[in-house]
Amino acid sequence: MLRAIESCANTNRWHRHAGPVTLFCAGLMACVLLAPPLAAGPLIGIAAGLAAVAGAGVPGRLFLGAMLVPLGFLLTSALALCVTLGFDHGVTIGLSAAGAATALRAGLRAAGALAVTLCFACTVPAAAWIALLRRAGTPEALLDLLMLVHRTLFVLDETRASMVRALDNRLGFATKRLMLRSAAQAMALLFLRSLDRAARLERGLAARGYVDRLPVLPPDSAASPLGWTLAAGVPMLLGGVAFGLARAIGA
Amino acid sequence: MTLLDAIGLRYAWPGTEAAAARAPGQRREALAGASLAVRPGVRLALLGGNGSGKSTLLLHLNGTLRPASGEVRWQGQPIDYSRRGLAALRQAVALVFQDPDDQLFAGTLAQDVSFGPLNLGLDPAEVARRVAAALAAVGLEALGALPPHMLSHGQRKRAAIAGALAMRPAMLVLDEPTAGLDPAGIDILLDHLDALHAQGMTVVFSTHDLLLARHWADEVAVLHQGRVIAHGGAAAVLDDAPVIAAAGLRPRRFADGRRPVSSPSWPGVSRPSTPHRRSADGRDTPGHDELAAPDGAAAAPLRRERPPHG
Ligand SMILES: Nc1ncnc2c1ncn2[C@@H]1O[C@H](COP(=O)(O)OP(=O)(O)OP(=O)(O)O)[C@@H](O)[C@H]1O
Ligand SMILES: [Mg+2]
Repeated sequence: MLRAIESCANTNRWHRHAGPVTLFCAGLMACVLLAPPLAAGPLIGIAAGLAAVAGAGVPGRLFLGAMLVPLGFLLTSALALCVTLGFDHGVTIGLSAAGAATALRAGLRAAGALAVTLCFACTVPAAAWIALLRRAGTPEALLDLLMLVHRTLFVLDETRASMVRALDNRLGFATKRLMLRSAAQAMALLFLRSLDRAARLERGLAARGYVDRLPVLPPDSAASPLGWTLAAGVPMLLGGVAFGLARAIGA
Repeated sequence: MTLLDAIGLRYAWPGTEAAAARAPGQRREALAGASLAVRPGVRLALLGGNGSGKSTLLLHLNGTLRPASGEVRWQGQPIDYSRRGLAALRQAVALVFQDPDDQLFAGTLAQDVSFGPLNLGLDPAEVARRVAAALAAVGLEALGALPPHMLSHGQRKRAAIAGALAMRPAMLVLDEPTAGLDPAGIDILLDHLDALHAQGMTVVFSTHDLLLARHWADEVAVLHQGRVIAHGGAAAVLDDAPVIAAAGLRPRRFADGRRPVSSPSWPGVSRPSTPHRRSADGRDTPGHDELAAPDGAAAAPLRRERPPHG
């Protein structure tokens, strides 16, 4: 999933328009957080999904699949909000209407925000948003760290995947008992491997003249005035619609 | 006059003392008094079996590792291992690691390649030009905007090489540059290295490819158990049978091109019964006999004239 999202971010139709897309996602996020959630949650959620899938060409299955897991968490916590526990006469458990309303609102808002986040993750490459943060004046040390963590994440994920494949190829996962053992071994190994990787990367950077900074050129951008206009206008429009809709349904 | 001198280098990787005590086969020192003199403008191939210390030696050449004893001299001066000294040395000596994941760190290939030139303090426009040229030199111009983890191993290897090329060093040190590259990729790389070499760049590389060493390198050094046991003209060293045999570089199989491939059959694997193919002149095809090259005819040069559009 991680790798699928990453490769989508680097290859989608909007991957060279990081600036406008970031503005667009920030606008949508503001709508979700500010407008009444009963209207804004679903509206913005759908808008973000449509933008990603129809606009940027993110595969629909990837988008929905990535939504699924966090939505599961959302649902369970929303259910917990609907339930009240009483301790007056022993322990009593009951459904609460106020709780349900809160849960619905919080759930819709969170789902909308989730879709916006995912839209951003699937359309803006890491190199691009790190470059944006740099332009916004984020401390260099923090950005260098971000870049290394991002890269290391994928190196380790690759190591993990190939380790699991290697164990599997020699029947390490053939039975339940072996599966447990192999998984434990892989985890221990991954820990050692990550230390080794860090040492190797440090050597590699030192050999290339690393002193205390990791300067890189910003990725080239194809952002156009039209892109910027749409990125600013569409969220404003949607925000207006969300407020209107909320008034109409009396939320 | 030499460009770089490594003199009597000894180096043991951290933690290997304990391992050597437990495993008798393991050497304690990865380098046990290795010496190597690199003349300016030379193409020097470093040969040696697995674990002979090639990578370890190359890591010493730009001060990435510091020897326990012995010294490395750059243009006659011992390396200054201070921060500034190393920074200066690494402008002149660029190193490409055996494993590209040891050195690729940035979000995209182009960004990664830009790291070295930006460290040199060049202005962004010049850096962008160098990045484009370096990526083109390894045939990756179309993939510059992708992150390293979306590429194959060979593509990453090429990216790592581009990172060093972009620094335009006086001396380029490559750890197994052609391992994992496809034949076309090797061609592109060698063409580019030829051009750089023609401009006076020194190239030191390790390899297991004896054909590459024979036909592309000017000089060959052979490393065995942490020591350089031979160093001289490529043909002279490669024809020195005792040295080659001692270093385990003489393949028993395919070597004379006449022996059919015969091996004990593995359990459960049956060999096809078709006879080994022979070409009209009675030689086995494919011929690997260029390695031995006793008769001039078989020693076809690796580099041939390419059509002008190539
Ligand atoms: N990171 C490390 N930690 C501990 N020991 C190491 C490390 N890297 C190499 N060694 C040891 O140093 C010795 C020389 O290794 P080196 O990597 O220099 O060999 P090499 O000639 O490059 O081999 P190859 O052809 O396999 O690349 C080996 O015996 C190896 O066990
Ligand atoms: Mg090596």
